[in-house]
Amino acid sequence: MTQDALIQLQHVNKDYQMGDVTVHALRDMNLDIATGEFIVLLGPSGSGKTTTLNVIGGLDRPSSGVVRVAGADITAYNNKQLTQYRRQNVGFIFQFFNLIPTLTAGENVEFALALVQKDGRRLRDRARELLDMVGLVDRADHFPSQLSGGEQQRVAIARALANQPPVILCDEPTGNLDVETGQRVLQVMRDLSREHSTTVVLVTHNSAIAPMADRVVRLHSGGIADITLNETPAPVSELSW
Amino acid sequence: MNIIWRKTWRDLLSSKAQSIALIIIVGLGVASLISMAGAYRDLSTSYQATYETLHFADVSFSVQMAPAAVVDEVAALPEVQAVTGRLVIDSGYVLPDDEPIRTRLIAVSPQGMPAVNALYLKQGRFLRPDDRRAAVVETNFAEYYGLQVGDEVTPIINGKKTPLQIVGIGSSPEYLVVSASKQDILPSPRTFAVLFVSLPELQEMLGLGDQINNVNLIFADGADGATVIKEVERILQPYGLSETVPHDEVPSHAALQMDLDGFRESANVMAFLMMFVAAMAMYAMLSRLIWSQRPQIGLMKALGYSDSTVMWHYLTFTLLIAIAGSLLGILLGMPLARTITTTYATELGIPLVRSKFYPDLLATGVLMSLFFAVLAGISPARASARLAPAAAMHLDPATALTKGRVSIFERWIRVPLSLRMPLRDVFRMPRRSLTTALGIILSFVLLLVGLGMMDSMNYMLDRNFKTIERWDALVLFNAPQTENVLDKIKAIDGVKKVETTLQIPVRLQAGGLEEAAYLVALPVDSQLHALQLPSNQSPAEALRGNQMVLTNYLADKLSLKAGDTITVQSPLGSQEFTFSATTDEIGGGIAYASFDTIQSMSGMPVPIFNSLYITLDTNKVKAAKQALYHIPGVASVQIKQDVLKDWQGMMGLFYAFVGVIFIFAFVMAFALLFNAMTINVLERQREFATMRAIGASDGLIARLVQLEIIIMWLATLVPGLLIGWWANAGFVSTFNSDLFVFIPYIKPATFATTALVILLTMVLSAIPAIRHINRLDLAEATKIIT
Repeated sequence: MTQDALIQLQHVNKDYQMGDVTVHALRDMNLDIATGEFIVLLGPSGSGKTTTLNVIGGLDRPSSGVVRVAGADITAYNNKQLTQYRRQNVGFIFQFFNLIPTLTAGENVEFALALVQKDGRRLRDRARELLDMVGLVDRADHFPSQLSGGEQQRVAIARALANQPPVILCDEPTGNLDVETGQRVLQVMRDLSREHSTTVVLVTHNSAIAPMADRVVRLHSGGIADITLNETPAPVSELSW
Repeated sequence: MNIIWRKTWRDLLSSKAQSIALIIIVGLGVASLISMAGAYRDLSTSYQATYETLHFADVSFSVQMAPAAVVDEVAALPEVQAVTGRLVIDSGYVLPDDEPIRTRLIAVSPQGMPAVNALYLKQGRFLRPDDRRAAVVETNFAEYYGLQVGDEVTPIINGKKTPLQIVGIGSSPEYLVVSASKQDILPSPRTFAVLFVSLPELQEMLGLGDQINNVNLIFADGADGATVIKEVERILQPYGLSETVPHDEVPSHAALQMDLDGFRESANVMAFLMMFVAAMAMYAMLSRLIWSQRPQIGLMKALGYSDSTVMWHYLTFTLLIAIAGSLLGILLGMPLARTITTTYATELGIPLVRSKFYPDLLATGVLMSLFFAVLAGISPARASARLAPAAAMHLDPATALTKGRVSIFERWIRVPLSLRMPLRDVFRMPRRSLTTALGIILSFVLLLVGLGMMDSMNYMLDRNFKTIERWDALVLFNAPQTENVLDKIKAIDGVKKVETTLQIPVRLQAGGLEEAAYLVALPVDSQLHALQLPSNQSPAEALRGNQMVLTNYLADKLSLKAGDTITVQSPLGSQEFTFSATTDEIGGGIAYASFDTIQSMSGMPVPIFNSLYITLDTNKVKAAKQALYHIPGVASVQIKQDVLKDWQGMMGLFYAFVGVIFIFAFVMAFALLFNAMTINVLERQREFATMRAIGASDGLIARLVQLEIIIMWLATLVPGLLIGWWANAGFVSTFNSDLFVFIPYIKPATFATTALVILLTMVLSAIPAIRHINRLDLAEATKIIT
């Protein structure tokens, strides 16, 4: 076990029953992720990368094994504890942005903030600060339908950072964006990770993104095929796909 | 199975609960049509069969007195098929506890069953020539008091209690509903006994010789009824012809017809309303399904499926629901029709019940549901076919919903986020909110139509017996009376106040229209009958001189406006009156004129009257009633409290009928709200899953959904109540007739109850959807694009 590991997966298995067939989505997965690390989980469809993300994020429970986050065994949590865990420890960024359509950009961020604090004035100011961080403060009063894909994803990043979670989990965050917009989103994530020492786990099947990570974990058939350590991660501007 | 059909089938299965709710809604619509229209037809057939079997008279004539030989003169007319002469006397009847009620003695020849207005014997036999002091008792009365053959009945004949032995119990086509007269808007076997007795015997008891006062006849085939009536009236005129009552105006028949008409109207209105609700529900569901399946539609079109295939695919969705709903409706409706027919027939004492299978009605139900299914499905189905494939495939419905900027109003007044979200969900999603609102408003309509019927009936009774009729007893006489009878009545212990009136059957003519009515000659300062005039008119003004006040119903029928001339044909001759105002009463065909005016028209040297309004000392009602029945010439004494009790008794059947409508309406409203609420929640699975993924608790999700429901309820409250009130007014008016008029009324408490029931149903019907959301596989649900 790594000394400063924030996230630990120990002998994690995840099986799905699809009719008569049992699908082994994760097979004896062992992985430590350090605080402030920017890690990319890379692999083709069905390799287990999204399942890994889900068990770390408390969206799914492993069939066996242990997932520890900041020393706590989240696999032992009940639903209520998992809700609390997600609220305080994890920020999610989804491929389809998943913004609430009836809330403006600012309000989408406020919604996440309001889960842990109640002061309305503070919420609004903090939401603006976060949007400012992703360069969207002037779009705070726009609804998602009025924002481009890249802008929506940056709002999603601001929302994910709202409660300063130690972990950000991103599932194909650029999957729905063009290259230029994708680069911009990745840059924001990279900067935030560095500035706030936030651990980022990014799932993608796009190997072009891998050079920007501190570490690249290649998955295959539910297990780790290979781990590559990038001594000097590439700047986002050099990425292309 | 064709792949498109398989997709339709899977779509239906994937929204199983909503599809079942829709099938129930359609099923109830079809069931209401089949059961009510079927019962209407069965009852009509049953009445008709009874009338034909028992030779119900085409017309009946009443005279003061005529020699029995006049029957032969009438029978000799070539266009008369059969005729019967009778002596009909209204009198009192003494119940075992000395309670007096009204009786009608119908004396007929004991030589055999009458050729006209025969009896359907349920027990015993008909009268025989050698019978002494014998009677055949009308079924409704016998059943009410549990009378059997061999028991005694005790009418008052010649002022004396006269026991008669029951030799038979039977139904008469004239008294299927035991209504004494058209004014008797509440028939009741409790207070009215019809006894068939031997004609020679009654003639003897009354010392009348071979005289009769009632002639009934049946027209020969192809006869011109109007001509025959004129001919017979000419023959009977010398004997004091007082009333000609064609078949349609016989009180029992008119009451039954009113029931049937009400039935038919309510069957039509309810079936249409329910089918409309079903169509709206199908429209809402299909348009939402299409919205959520836009990427799939785009894909189908991209793969080369034609516009018409796509359109039919979505149209078959509603058609399948309509077919399943029709089957359910048939299965429910057929036994229900039989139950309604049997219940009504038993309650009304219709002896011959005919129940049939009506394939055309089933076909109408199925076709109607298919028609409404196409109506509901065509617009969204065509919209699906018109979608451009590329745009449809790339659309994320979740984000495309909210348009426009934050309003200035919202910037000024910032409400907490927890309230802002549901507010936006309601007001920024017009398509979704409108279909949901439609479901809620239709639920208001369904419930208010059902409950409003009961309120209107209760209001009508309350208004009639408390506000309008202020007497305690209404006394009707067989013939006009003079001052000396009045003195006797005033002298009865317990009688406090007496008002004289004259009630005469008349025909009103105006502007080429004609209506039969009862003319009530009322003192202009009457304290015991309060005319409900427009606020700017007093009874003294409205009844001044030759002015006449009509019920709203009658004024509408004759298309009258104030100042119009009415020609009144009555036994007093033909007179002209000026229509002055309407009175808002429940009685349908009643006209009011000044008592003094009618007196002067009668040409009598002394005032005459044939009915009295009386107030009584509450402790002496029974004794006063007995004393009144012993005054010669008294035909009936109606005690207001008894009449009210009869109404309440009759209400049992009415409430049962309204109860069935209400249960239908409630189940439909529940299914409708269940669909609206669950679809509302389920089509936002990703949104709610995302909220949960980022840490929103189950409780917060439930609160947001329920808050949205409350806002939706508040937004639809006023339109729902208003449209519900309007629909109730329309529905209630279908029951109006010339016997009585419903005044649409809904109690404030009913509005409040309906509103709360709907809120509660909305809140409860969203619970399964909330539970579903809170059990979602978040990993999957956050990726759903629907």
